[in-house]
Parts: sequence; structure tokens; C-alpha cells
Amino acid sequence: MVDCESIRSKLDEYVDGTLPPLEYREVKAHLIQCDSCNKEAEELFLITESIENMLVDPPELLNKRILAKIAQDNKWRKRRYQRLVKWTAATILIAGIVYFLPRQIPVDTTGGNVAIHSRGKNVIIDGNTLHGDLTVVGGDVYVEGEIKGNVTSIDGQVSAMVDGEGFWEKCLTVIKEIWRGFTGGDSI
Amino acid sequence: MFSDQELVKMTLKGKKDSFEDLVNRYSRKVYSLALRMLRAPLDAEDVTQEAFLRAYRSLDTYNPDYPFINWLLKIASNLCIDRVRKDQNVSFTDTDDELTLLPQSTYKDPETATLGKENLTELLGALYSLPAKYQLIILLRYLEGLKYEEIATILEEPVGTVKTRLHRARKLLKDRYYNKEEGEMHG
Repeated sequence: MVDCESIRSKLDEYVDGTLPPLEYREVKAHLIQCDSCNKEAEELFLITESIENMLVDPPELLNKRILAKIAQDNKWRKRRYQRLVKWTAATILIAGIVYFLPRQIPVDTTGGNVAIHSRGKNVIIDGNTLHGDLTVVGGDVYVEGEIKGNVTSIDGQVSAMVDGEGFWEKCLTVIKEIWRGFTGGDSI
Repeated sequence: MFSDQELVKMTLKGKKDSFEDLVNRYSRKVYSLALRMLRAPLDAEDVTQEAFLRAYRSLDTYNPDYPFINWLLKIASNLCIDRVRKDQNVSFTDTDDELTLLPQSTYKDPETATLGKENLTELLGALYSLPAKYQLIILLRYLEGLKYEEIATILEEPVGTVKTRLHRARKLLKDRYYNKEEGEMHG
């Protein structure tokens, strides 16, 4: 004869229907004979079945409200995404401009000889006259002014602007050359 | 009819109407859980809305190997527990409120009810008197009909812990419900 304590330890799973078939039959057989355990099982069944029936229909408009909220959230996220794209594009553009801007170091022409470690930047003599020598390490030298002394560039190049030639004059020269290439020598 | 997983895939591919089917399919289950946990219909509506919204936002993280409803109930359960924690001091003794929380099916078809309306109110009272984690496990097991393993996944607990907690919760619920009844009968 199975004792009540052993049966009661299995009642949860009996009620839940998760007891293996052999034990299920054993419990069921005991419940037929034992009023006390049977009452215990019935109480459990009553409670669990009552809770199973506690599903409630949601208010009629709840589903529509849920979908409206999702649609609203979609719009908001779309706008946020568009804003993010705009800001990212603007940031990239500004960063690009800053990066590709001529990185130049102006030369102080008020003294005599000048030596510059340019660390990759261009060194520019901007329309002034340097009365001494110029030595540049690690960058190109671009001369728009005049140097009375010697120019030495280590790991870089030296280029000089034709006297009086500015940016637009340079552009015009390039266009003229291209035109000449097309027309075979006629000038504009 | 599309499966839940198919509807999720379609939603992710941009067919927003597919999610509507999931809302129509499961709002009752989510709302019922929230209402039983929170007892206030407006809070239950809020939580149901929020659960679906969160599910929608993180749909790409859903693992289709598991039932969609279990994932949704996990989100809803966490929201309910958070709310209960925030709102520990709320009293739910208002009788009118309790009556509005009774299942509608009980009114429509009394024969299917296992307890009468009054007894059901008592049972709800006993359920509400349990700690939130006991309420939740009882509701996931019996209201939502989930298996031990599924509850373990939702609660992120071992199956053994789920069984033990469920046993304690059920015992406490039964004791409170029947003791109260007996007390009233004797009184």
C-alpha cells in the first residue's frame, strides 16, 4: 500500500498531467481509496482549472491602439534615422574638407635663416621675402614670395610660383593648355 | 494561415501588416497576464501596448526556435514585475474593481465556470495576496498553459527551481483560498 505522503508529493505533477503513466495510475488508484488525498487533489484541480479560465478579452480598441503606437514609433524612428543620416553626412563632409584643406606652415620672414621640421605639412613663403636660407625637413616647400638665400628640402619638393601668378591665373593657364590640346595650337 | 515565425519574417522584410496578425493573435494572452498581475485594467493595457512595442522594436533579436508567444510573455512578465516593484504599496481591496476583473466567460457561460462568481473573487484575492513571483509562475503555468521548461526559459531559471517555486506557490494559494473560505464558513 502506497502511503499518503508519497502520493501527496506527486499531486502537483498529477494535476499538471506531467506524471509518467505508471505513477499516474498509481496515484489515481490511491485517490479512489483515500478520501483525504482525493480532497487534496480536487482542491488543486479546482484552483488550477479556475485560473485556466481566467483569460480575459482585452478592450475592443486595444489592438488598434497598439498598432497606432507602433506606426507612430515607426515615423519617429524614421525621422530620427533621417536626422542621423543628415548629421553623419554633414560631419563626414566637414571632416573631409578639413582633412583635404592645404595644410601649410607659413614661414616667419622677419628673421634670418629658417629651419623647419614640417612633419608632412607644406611650407609656404607667402608673398614675402626671406633674407636668409630656408631648410625644411619632411615636407614640400611652396614659394609664392622671394628667397634671397638657399633653399634645402629634405624628403620633400620645392616648387615656386611664376611671378605674379595667382590661383585664377593658374587655372587659366591649365584651361589654355587643354584647349591647345584640342585645337592643335589655336589660342582662345 | 501563416505561422508566427513566418509573420515575424514578413514583418522584418517590411510587410508591416504581418505584425497586426501577431497582435490580434496574442493580445488576449498578454492582456490577461498583465491584468492578473497588475489588477488595474489601464495598467494592463499600458503593459500590453509596451510589450508589443518592445517586441516590434527588437524583432530581429527573436530566436525563431522558440514560440513567439513565449518570447512575448517574457517581455510582458518583465514589464509586469517592474511595475509591481514600483507600485508595491497599491491596495487592491476595492470590491467593484475586483468584480470588473472577473473573466468575461464566467458571466457568459456559467456552466463552464469551475467556481462561482463569489468564489472566483475569493480565489483572485488569494492569488493577489501571493508574492509577485509566485503569482507570475502560477499564471504562466495555468493561465498561459506553459510547460515547466518554457517557464524556465522565460524566467531564466533552472527547471528544478521552477518546479519548486510552482509547488510552493500552488500550496500557498490553496492554503490561503481554503483557509479563508473555512474561516468565513465558521465565522
